[in-house]
Amino acid sequence: MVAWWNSLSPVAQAWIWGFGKATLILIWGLLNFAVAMMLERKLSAWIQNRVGPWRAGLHGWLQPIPDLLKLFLKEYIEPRNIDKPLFVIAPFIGFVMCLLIWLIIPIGPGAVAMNLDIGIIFIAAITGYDVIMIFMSGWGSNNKYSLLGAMRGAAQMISYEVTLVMSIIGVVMMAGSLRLSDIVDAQAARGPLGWYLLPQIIGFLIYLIASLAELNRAPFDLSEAESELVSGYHTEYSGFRWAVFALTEYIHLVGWSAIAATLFLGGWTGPTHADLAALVGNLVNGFGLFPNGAGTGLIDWANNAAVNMGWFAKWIWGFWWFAFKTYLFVFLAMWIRWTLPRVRIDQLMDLGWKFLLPVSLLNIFLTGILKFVATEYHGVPVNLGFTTLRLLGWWTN
Amino acid sequence: MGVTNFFGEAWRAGKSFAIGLNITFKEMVFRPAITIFYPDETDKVPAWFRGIPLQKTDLLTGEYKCTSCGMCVEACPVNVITLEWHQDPTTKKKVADRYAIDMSRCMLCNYCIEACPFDSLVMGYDYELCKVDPENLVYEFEDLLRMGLKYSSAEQAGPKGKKNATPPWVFHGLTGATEEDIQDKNGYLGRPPLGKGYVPELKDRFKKPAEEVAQTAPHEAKTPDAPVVTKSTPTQTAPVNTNPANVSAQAGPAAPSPAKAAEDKTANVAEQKPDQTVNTEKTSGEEAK
Repeated sequence: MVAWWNSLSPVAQAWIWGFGKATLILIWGLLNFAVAMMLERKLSAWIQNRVGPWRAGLHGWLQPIPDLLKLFLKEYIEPRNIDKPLFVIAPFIGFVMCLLIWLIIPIGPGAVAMNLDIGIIFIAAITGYDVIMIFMSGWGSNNKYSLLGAMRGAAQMISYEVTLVMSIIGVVMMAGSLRLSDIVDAQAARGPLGWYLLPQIIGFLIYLIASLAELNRAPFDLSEAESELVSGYHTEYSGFRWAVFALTEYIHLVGWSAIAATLFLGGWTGPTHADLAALVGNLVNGFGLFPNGAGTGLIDWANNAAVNMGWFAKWIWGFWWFAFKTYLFVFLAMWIRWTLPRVRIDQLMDLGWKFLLPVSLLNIFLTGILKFVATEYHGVPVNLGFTTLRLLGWWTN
Repeated sequence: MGVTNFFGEAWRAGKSFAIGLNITFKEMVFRPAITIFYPDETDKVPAWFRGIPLQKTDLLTGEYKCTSCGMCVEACPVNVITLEWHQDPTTKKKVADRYAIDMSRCMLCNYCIEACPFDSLVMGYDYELCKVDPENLVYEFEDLLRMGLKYSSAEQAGPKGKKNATPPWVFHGLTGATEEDIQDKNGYLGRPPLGKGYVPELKDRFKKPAEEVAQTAPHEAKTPDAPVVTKSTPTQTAPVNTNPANVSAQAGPAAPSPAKAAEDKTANVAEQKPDQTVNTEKTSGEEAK
């Protein structure tokens, strides 16, 4: 197998490997869609004291399968005087772009499809295509509701893209790299308390708000406001074309959550079984107060396991922590969606331009100053604020 | 937005945001679902529930309470009640030929019940009224009476022309009738209009005793010039129809004697079943002779 692989030309290797990765990403995206959609329906049901889908599978958890089957079989309805090429191609542009996010996200130690050195910029760039998707579908539908939704969506997403990138810049300044795997490594070196969540708490909160707006999710789902515009930019879509919009929405949600987990919660890093065993050993030892054989043995075993851990175990742990953190953010987004009412368009613009953007600029300013102080006065005890800065993870030693 | 407002508003927004998240989290985790899995289990409807207007029967005499006065027809805002009647020459009473409610248009407003001076109508709590064919949504008198048995009481009505002591908005729970009593065994409910002279089969407990039938028979004799309202078989001592049961019990040549009918009622029911669906005037006339 290896010999056969090596016998191939580099071009053929690249093509085969690329197709393999693309297929994996597609499957991963669809899987995430199913899980996220079910989670959304179940969470909304629980919050509203309902039970949600109940008939398909155990407690209805297999509902996405019949849903997608139904949407496959449905008719494609096309209104008169639509701009057909735009109308047809718009959902698929969004679908491709939301899958492209997964190209650069490290989902385990070394498990990243394309380790681009411009990671964050790449994400910001392909996010721009979402605006194009929304506007294409809204314009192509020949419908006033669609067009209104598309206008709103375009205005909203362009505004919040600025804020989003500004909120990420703090993290990039701390890590010193745009590459996502570098950011994860920097956080892994700092340990769980040094994850960029605490040092970049302002950037984190802005990122959360701005990514909700970027995703067109409640409370910022103005472009598909059901109570005002029938369904916004995808009013006229039906069947599988509509399903692609739903796929885009949820894969995008999981994608942005994965970026948040990578940037602020340390990505795939997290305690493994060796760390847990060491913790238990330390507890048994009373953290060195009354060392005994069992605790010391456990710690020894843990150290051994940490050194000898195979790539597979590392990968499993990395993947688990990555998925856990990602779905933490997915849960948060859904929780917020079913809590808050929708904002008005002027409130949205006010929030974006008058509050989030200045605060994110302030965050960049603060980050720069603190980074300068932390490197310039490294090791020098600063009386005022030293403890705070230490706690926030600016002094790493 | 001044600078002071800037942080104040941010603080208040964050605070209310946290409060909202707390509320939804509590709802999500601690409050159980209130869902009723409908086809599997059904909820009890409240006492004031308005399902379908039904006709009551006086369970004591076994006669329906409707006097064909037409007040409900007048009151109905959407004109879904059809009433056709004739006058019985003997008793000088109105006899309903057809009383039908088109449930496809009924808006369940309760006006007919409020208008009824004889406490004959009742709002049932039956709500599973779906039919495959919309034609079947026309509920005939028999259907309304049959479904209304559950809501009928054995109490005597008040003085003639006055409303019953029981207020009409007490809709159900007045009788011990059970779900079994209104089972639609013969497929009566909600079928297209049947011809005249049709008698629904009642359970034994709602049938009149044969002796009583014999006593009251001459009183309600049918005359040939009156339109045929219903048709009955000898065993059908049906309370829901005006008279024909008595006619046949009295004069029908093929009919067994009232005493015999009382003896083996069940046997007669089985014996006469095929006749029940025959509803021509001719048959009825023969029996009357």
